[in-house]
Amino acid sequence: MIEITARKRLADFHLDVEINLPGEPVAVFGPSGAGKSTLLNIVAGLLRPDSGRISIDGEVLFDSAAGIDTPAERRGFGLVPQEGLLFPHRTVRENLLYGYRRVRGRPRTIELNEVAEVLEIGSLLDRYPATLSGGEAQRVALGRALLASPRLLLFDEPLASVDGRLKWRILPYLKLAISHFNLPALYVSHDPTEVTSIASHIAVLHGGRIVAAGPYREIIDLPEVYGIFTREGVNNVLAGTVDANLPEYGYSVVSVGEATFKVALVDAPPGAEIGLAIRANEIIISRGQPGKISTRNVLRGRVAGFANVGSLILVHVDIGCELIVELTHGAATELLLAEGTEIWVLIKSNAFQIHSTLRPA
Amino acid sequence: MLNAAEWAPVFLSFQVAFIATLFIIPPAIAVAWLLSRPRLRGRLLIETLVTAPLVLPPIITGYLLLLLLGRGGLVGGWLHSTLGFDIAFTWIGAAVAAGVLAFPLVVRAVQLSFESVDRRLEGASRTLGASPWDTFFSVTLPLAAPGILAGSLLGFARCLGEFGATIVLAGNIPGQTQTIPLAVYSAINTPGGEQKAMFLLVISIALSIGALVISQLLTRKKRRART
Amino acid sequence: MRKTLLFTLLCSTLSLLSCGAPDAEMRESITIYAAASLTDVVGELAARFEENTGIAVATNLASSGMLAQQIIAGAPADVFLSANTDWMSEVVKTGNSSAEDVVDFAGNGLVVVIRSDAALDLDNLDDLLSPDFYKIAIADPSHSPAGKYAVEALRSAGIYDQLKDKLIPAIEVRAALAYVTSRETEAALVYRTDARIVEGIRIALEVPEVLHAPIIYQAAAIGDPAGAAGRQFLEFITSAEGRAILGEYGFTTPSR
Repeated sequence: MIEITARKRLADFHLDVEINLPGEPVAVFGPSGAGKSTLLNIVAGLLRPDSGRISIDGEVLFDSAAGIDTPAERRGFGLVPQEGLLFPHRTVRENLLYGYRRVRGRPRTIELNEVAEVLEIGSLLDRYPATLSGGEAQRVALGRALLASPRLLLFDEPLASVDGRLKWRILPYLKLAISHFNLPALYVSHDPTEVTSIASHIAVLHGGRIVAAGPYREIIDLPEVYGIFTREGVNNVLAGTVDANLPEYGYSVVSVGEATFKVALVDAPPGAEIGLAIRANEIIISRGQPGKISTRNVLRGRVAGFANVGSLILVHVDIGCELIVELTHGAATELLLAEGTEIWVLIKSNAFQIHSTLRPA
Repeated sequence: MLNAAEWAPVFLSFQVAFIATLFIIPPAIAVAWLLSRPRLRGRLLIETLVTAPLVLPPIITGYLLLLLLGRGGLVGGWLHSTLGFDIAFTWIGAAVAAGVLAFPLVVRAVQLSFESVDRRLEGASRTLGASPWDTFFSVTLPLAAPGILAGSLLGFARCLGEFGATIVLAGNIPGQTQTIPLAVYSAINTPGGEQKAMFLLVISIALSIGALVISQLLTRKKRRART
Repeated sequence: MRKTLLFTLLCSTLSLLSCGAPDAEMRESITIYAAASLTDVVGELAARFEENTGIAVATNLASSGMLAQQIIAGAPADVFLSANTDWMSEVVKTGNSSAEDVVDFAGNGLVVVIRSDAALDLDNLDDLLSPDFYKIAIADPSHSPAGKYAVEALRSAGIYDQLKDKLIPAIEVRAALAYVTSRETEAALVYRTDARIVEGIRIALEVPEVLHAPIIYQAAAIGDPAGAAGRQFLEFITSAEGRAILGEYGFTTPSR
C-alpha cells in the first residue's frame, strides 16, 4: 500500500493531492499543465514538496512534519520518462544494468535475461542509444527502470512523444511489465485511451487537485471530468475476438461480449483477440428500428443510465456490451430517453479504431 | 639557430603551462559545476571573482598576486618564514600567474559544457539508485568530458601566452621564469636581439594556434556526435 | 527614455576623454631619452634648461638598452643619455646619430645595498655567497648597463657562477632597488647614485672599480644631422652649471 500526500506551490496553481495505491496500477489523468509531472517528480524524490508525506508499506520515505526526506536514490522508485533519457555514452546493456548495479538494501528480483525476453530487446544490447528507434528506446528505458528492482513504477507520459501507431505497439509492453513483474504503478498521461488501458482505477488531476477518482465508467459521468476528456475525446475501449474475415464484403466480424460488430478488414485470423475503440460522439442512437440504411452496424439494446455533463448528455447503453454515447440535450429530450428505454445503436464500420494489441484494463 | 640555453624558454613555457593547467582543472570543474546549477546563492560574487582576471589588466592581477604571495605578503611571508618556500620569482610563481589568468577561460568553457548536459539524465540516474556524487562521475562528467578537454586546451594556450602577471609575480629570470613571451620581450629590447625574437615568435604562434585548433576540433566533434 | 539619456551621456563622456589632452603650446620642445639611473637628475637638468632657454623638455626613462632599441626603431628622441657605451655605438652605427654629436658627460660607481634595518653586513663581494643572502637583485643585463656592470664585477670576482641562481633580474636598476625595499630580495647591486635616493636602505659595500669597466654616461644628439636644440642640451649638461647639478646627485666627472 502506497500513500502519497503532497502540497506544493507552483507558478500557476497549488498542487494539493492525496493518492493511495492499493497495489494495482493507478492512472493519473489530466490535461497538460495540471501538475502531473510535478507530482511524479515529488514521488520520485527529485522535487521537494512544500509539505506532504510519502510512505510505502508503512515505511515513511518523506514526511515534512517529521523532517524525513529519503534521497531519490534510496527510494527504490523506478521512473519511465517521456523521452527514454537513456545515457548516450553507454551501450544499451550498460544502460540496462545501471540501476541493477546500484540496488541496495533490498534483493534483486528482476534479471537481465528476463527483461530482455519480455520486452524483446535482446538484440539491442550492444548498440548505442543514438542508433535506436523511438520505440526501441522506450522499451530499453522501461527495462532499465525494471532492472533496478523497483518497489513502484512511475510512468511519466511515456508515450507522449511517440506517434500514433507506434504508441499502441509499445503500450502492451508497458502493461506486460506491470503485470508480469507484479509491480505497483503510477501512470500519468493526458491520453484517456492510454489511461483506460493501463488502469482500472483513475485519478483525474486538474489545476493541481484531484477532482475525481474511481473506475472509468463512474468518473466519466462527472461534468468536471468530462470537460477534460472531451478535448482528447471519450473513447470506448473494447476487448473483442475476431469471428470471421470477409474480404469479398470488405469487413471483418468481431464479437465484443455478446455484441457483434462489423469493422474494417483486420489482419488477424478468426479466434484472435483484438482491441476496438469507438468515440462516444460517433455513435448514433435511434428510438425505433431504422429502415434500409447504409450503416453496417445496427444493434438493439437498452439505456443503462445517463449523466448530464454540462452541455452534453452521456448515455450508457447495453447492446450486449457496454458503450458510452454522447448526445446533445436536445437529442436526448426529443428521443425521450429514460433508463430502460429500448434503443437502436448505429455505428459505421470504419468508425472503429482497431488495435491489435489494445485492451481495456 | 638557437643553442641549448636559448631553447630554455620553450621548455620552461611548456612546464609552466602544463603544471598550471593541470592544477586549475579540478577547481575549474568544481566552480563551473556550481555555476551551472540554476539556483545558486552568491552567484554574482562568485562570477565576479572568477571573471576578474579576464577583465583586469594582467599586470594588476600580477601585482595583487605579488602583494599576497610575495615575501612581504600575507601568504608569501608565512611560506618563506615557516617553510622556507618562495612562490614569487620562481617558476611556481610563473605557473600561478599563468593559472590565475587562464582560470576564467577554463571555467567558462567547462560551464557551457555542463549546461549542455540534459539535467533530466541526472534525474533518471538518481531514480536508478545513483547518489549525486555517483551521478556526477557516471553521467555528468563523462558527457561533459569533450568540452572539459577543449577548455583545458584553451587554458593551456592562454598559459603559454601569459606575460603581464608573470613578469610582475615571477620576474624575467632566464632559465627559471623566462617563458617564451618574456624571452621575446627581452629579445626585442636588446640591441641585436631581432633574430632570436623572430624565432621565438614563430614557435609561440605555432604552439598557441596548434592548441586552439585541437580545441576547436574537439568541440566540433562533440557537436556532430550529438546531432 | 532615461536609459537612452544615460547611455548617450556615457558615450559622449568616453569620446571626450579619449580625445586626449589639449594641444601643448606651440613652442620649441625636445624629447630626452635617458637611462633609468638618471631619473632624478634629469628632472632638474631639464627644469634648469627650460628656464635658461625656454625650450620645453619631455623625458622618457628606461634602461639604456631598451631606449637604444626604441631609437633604432625610429622613436622620436632628440637626445639620448646612455649609461652604456656599447649601446651608444649601436645608435651611432645605425645612423641615428653622428660620432661628433656624442660626448661623455658623467660617471658612476656600483654599490651593494641592503635594508637599513637588516642585520646583515658585507666585508667584500664574496660575502654575497652566504646563505643569509637568499636572493640578490640586479638590473636585467640584457638591456640595462647597471646589470651588465654588476655581472662583469661578479665575474671578475670569480663568484658569478655560484651566485647566478640567486640573481633576480629587474626591468631596470631602480626596479632592483624596489626589490630590496619590498623585501623580495636581501640585497641589490645598483649605482651609487641610486642608493642616495631611496629611504630605508643603506650601502653595505662599495664595489671596487677594478672589477668592471669604467661606468661612463654618454650623451648624443639624435638625428643626422642632429637638431640644434638637441645640441644645445648637450652643451648645457657638459657646462659648469650642468656638471654642478650632476655632482649634487653623486655623479662623477667622466674619467676619460
